[in-house]
Amino acid sequence: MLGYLGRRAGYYVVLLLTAVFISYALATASMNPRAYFEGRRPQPPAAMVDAQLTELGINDKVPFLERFGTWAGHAVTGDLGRTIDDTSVNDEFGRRIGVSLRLLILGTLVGTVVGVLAGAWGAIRQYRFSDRAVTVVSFVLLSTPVFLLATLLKIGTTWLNDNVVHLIDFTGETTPGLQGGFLVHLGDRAAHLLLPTLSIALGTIAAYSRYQRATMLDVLASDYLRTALAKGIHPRTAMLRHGLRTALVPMTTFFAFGFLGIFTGAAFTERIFGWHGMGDWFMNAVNRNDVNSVVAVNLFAAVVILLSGFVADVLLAVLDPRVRNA
Amino acid sequence: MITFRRFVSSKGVLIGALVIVLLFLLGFLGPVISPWTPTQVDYLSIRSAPSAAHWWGTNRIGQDVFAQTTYGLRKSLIIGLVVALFSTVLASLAGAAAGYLGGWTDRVLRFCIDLLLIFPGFLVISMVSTRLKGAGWLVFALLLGVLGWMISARIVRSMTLSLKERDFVRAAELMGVRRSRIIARHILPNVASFLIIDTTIAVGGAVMSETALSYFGFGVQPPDVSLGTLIADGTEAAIGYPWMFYFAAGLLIVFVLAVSLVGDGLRDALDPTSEAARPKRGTVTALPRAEAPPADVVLSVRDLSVRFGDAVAVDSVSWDLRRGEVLGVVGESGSGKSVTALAAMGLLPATATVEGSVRLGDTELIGAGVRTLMEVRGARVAMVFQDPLSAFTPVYRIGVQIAEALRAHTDLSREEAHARAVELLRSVGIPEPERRAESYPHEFSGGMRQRAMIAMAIANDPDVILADEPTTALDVTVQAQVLDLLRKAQRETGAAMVLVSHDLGVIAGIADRVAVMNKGVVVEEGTVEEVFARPKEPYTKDLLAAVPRLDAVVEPREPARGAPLVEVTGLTKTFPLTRGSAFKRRVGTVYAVSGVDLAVRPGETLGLVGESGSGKTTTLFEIMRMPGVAEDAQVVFQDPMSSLDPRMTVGEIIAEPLRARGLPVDGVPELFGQVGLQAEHASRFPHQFSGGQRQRIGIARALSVRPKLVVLDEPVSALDVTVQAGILDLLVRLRDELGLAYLFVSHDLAVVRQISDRVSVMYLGRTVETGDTATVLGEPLHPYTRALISAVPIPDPAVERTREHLLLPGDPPSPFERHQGCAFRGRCPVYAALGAGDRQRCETVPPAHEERRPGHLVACHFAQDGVSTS
Repeated sequence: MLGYLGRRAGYYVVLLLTAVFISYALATASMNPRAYFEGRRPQPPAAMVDAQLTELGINDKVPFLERFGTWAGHAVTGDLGRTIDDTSVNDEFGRRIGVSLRLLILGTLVGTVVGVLAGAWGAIRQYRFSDRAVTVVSFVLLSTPVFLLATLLKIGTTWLNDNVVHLIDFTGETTPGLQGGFLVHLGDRAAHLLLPTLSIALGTIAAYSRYQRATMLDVLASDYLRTALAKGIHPRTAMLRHGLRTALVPMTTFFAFGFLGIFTGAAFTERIFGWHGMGDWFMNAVNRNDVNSVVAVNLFAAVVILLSGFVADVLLAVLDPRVRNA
Repeated sequence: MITFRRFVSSKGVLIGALVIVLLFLLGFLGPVISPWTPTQVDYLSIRSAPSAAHWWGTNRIGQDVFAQTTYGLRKSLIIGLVVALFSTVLASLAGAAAGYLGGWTDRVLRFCIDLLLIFPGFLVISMVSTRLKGAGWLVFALLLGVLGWMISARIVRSMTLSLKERDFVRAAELMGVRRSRIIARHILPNVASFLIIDTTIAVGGAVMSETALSYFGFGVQPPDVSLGTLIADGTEAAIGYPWMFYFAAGLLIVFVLAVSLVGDGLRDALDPTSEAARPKRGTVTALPRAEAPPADVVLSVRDLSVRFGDAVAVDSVSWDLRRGEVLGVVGESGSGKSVTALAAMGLLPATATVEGSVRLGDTELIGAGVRTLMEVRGARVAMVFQDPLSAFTPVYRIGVQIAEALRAHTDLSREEAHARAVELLRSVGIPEPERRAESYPHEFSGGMRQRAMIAMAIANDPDVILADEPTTALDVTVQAQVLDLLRKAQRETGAAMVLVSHDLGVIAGIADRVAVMNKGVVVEEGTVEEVFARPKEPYTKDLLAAVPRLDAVVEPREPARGAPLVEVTGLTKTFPLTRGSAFKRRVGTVYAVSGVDLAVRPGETLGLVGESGSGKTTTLFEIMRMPGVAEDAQVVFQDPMSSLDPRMTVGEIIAEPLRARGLPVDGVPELFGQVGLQAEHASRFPHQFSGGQRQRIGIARALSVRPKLVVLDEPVSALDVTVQAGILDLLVRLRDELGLAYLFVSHDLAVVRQISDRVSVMYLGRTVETGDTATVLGEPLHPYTRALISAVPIPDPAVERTREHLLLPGDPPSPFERHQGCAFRGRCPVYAALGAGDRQRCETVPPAHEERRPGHLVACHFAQDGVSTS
């Protein structure tokens, strides 16, 4: 099993390096930081712009491979370079990574757990009203893009806040200048987390519940569930211990693919709810031709998606003895 | 046609399709009929609510929302279509190429797919969006397509991989059909339905991606509009001026929803196993009975009927099981024999409608509550299922699963239950039970799994054991062991047993009484001696007449003369054993075949016999690949369903070998008649025929190019006994009429005896005995052949019960290991009886396949010694 995971990890490192190189190349090719400086008023002299660009390591007059080499040389030591405002990319990275991870981890956990349970429940209650209701709701949620769902949640809450009763504040991570003890702050943070988490979790719940329902239906028709029932254990125990437990195995594959969607959704959600996370940073950086920041976010994306793939591999090996001894 | 009707009969699909049509009309006609253009500004009405002048109101600078929204809808729809088509084309090309070509193409493509998957598309598009600004929407759409094909490509790849393994593709390859033609005629049509569904769903996904990117300013650029830019513009005003937001947002959701409804309906229509095709929930009704069953009856079935939707599976079946007796329930597939047993245990799927009465002592089981069933199942009535691999939960250890059965009915602690499970495994003959209890089901051989299943069944000392085809999935030597164990378990626990089987030989050997089922009805019931010796019903008579018997007397034919059509000596074929997906490495060698000798002369039938893993199929394919053989030889496969391309008409299938050789196809109608089919059916598809008819189609295809040799790979193994008899008759008739030679591969000695002139027996990739059918099966010299013959049950209780059974210990060894000396010695009774000096010869020197008597070849050092003991 360790050998299997070790080989997967090796493959992932190769993928990661290739992804970083391509993103550096794409960012360099399509962005024009020189224009950013030349567009300043008053316009700085050309020599100053050149000096500034060189210092940041993004001077288009330096050959591409040389620029990449310099960047990579720093990157392997853990230094991701300077932003276009000449601040440290690492500092900015450190400030924003926590914001994104809070949203990503919470959204993934809520989405996966609730989705799996809803799907399994739907499969057990196949054709009944509750199954149909879950199906209809998940279809509508799957047909609503995350950005629109987040926007609708925001509009709906604003309307409720203004017209009915003040429910929650949702812009940013905290209410600025809030007075009170630890619990007040914790509650405030939780309230701010609610809508963004819902935005990304709802779609995930819908998608996972469809997959889980399908795999669970397969398992419900399986011979081994029949064997379990034939032993005389309670049907509910059989469904959970033999049915759901086995139906989770193919879900690990969906989990690996699903995380890409969660990541994208989280980036949009940050932007809509004014969270200063990686997605927000990325969109700002693109608009300002900030090459090093853009590459840093790409690196972050590749790492978290690979990690989620690795987690899926580990989960698969943990859940399925057939994979473990292969 | 059937699928189309199913497709439109779904309400969701109809609504979805209607909505899509309406939205397309709105998108394409809206901008035309609107009195305003999208960019036109009406300075007099800014932010005005819907009115006669502005149907959907105006926005913050006075543009008409209807004109803008319908125009934006059109743009989003066009982009969605372009993206979906483009990404599906990419996915199918990349997936099919990777799957079919394999090797480095596959590895490179999979690396690219993985790379794109860790590189979120929206990051890439946003990054290059500054460059896209001048390029227009088409470049944006193509880029979206390039970044969105990976998951579909993975699916196409795995579908192609599994199609490549299907018999109809292998059949086409053996016929010499060109690779390009195989892709065009066999691979693509079978992937097409997936691609249609995928494209449909991809349209929805593409519209969602487009709108999201446009919303954040990375997609469609002003002054151009799409639903995404309109939603972005309207968001701030949504509460005060809802028309600026909700028309665009609503259209987006409704369109994507409609697309997923249609996609889902398409999937159901094209997938015959989909939920929509299944019957709805059934009901369970216990019928009252006039009198209680007699005291010596433990299980009593009265007027039991089972339906699935409109299909009747069991029709008013009654039987009684007396204390300590074995009742054999025999029938062909679809006779309802297993359904009866499952209905008694309340284990049928929810779609079954059950009616009648099943009494266990005083307890009525039909319609019984969960508590009652839990007390009965596993404690008073235990079951042994057919396929021991799928009958164990793959993720739990064997010991845990047996302990679970114990703990369900006792208050044993975890440790006590485990200790008892180990004891049970020991009692059913599992070696090293302490260690094997810790194994997972996939680490057990088929025979060991079935032993463990029996251990679980006897765990709580039940009154009744229901065994549903308990040996069907096993090799014949292992079947003999398991039947022996079942008999022993039944005797020792004193349980009564119902043994459901299609195999009359198995029933003859084990049952006291027998119930013969046909089409859901018990046609005849009686003691096993009575029914086998003096069947009353025509169906029983037919069944007994159709089953081939190993002890039948077959008139030998003239020995064949002439140079062999095919001859091999010492044939060896190894496969590399590899691990890892991305970076494959070789970890060993599988010796599929290592020393096969055989020859087939013109007009002769050679029966090639062996258990699973003996290398029969590998031998067959190696022979077909030998230079010169393919021109004169054709293959008939085991499973007629998988060897016929489901998307081709039967006429096209039969003509395919002719077309592959560029020959005229006008003889095809005649071929239909030759195999007993009607030429008018040429335009039908394989699924419209029964199993036996499909096998006739496979035979007609093989005969189309007038081969001298037909290689038959288990041609009747997937068929019921009565159908099997018809196919064997046809094969004999064609052989005599056309002077064909057959290489007849089978695990079934009785069938081989019936049709073969000569027999060749294989064990673990080697030929161990060859000779005339009567000699090899009548006076076998090799100890393996003797055990094999002894293990085949004879469908006659008088004979079967007086025969001496020679049980081989253990399972057939794995071809993954290389064996020194004689590969059979681990299970060999002759070897076991030898002295140390003689044993050494078996351990070090592989026995040669040599002539011991005229025309009778044997690969055993001590074959002669064995003769004297038999």
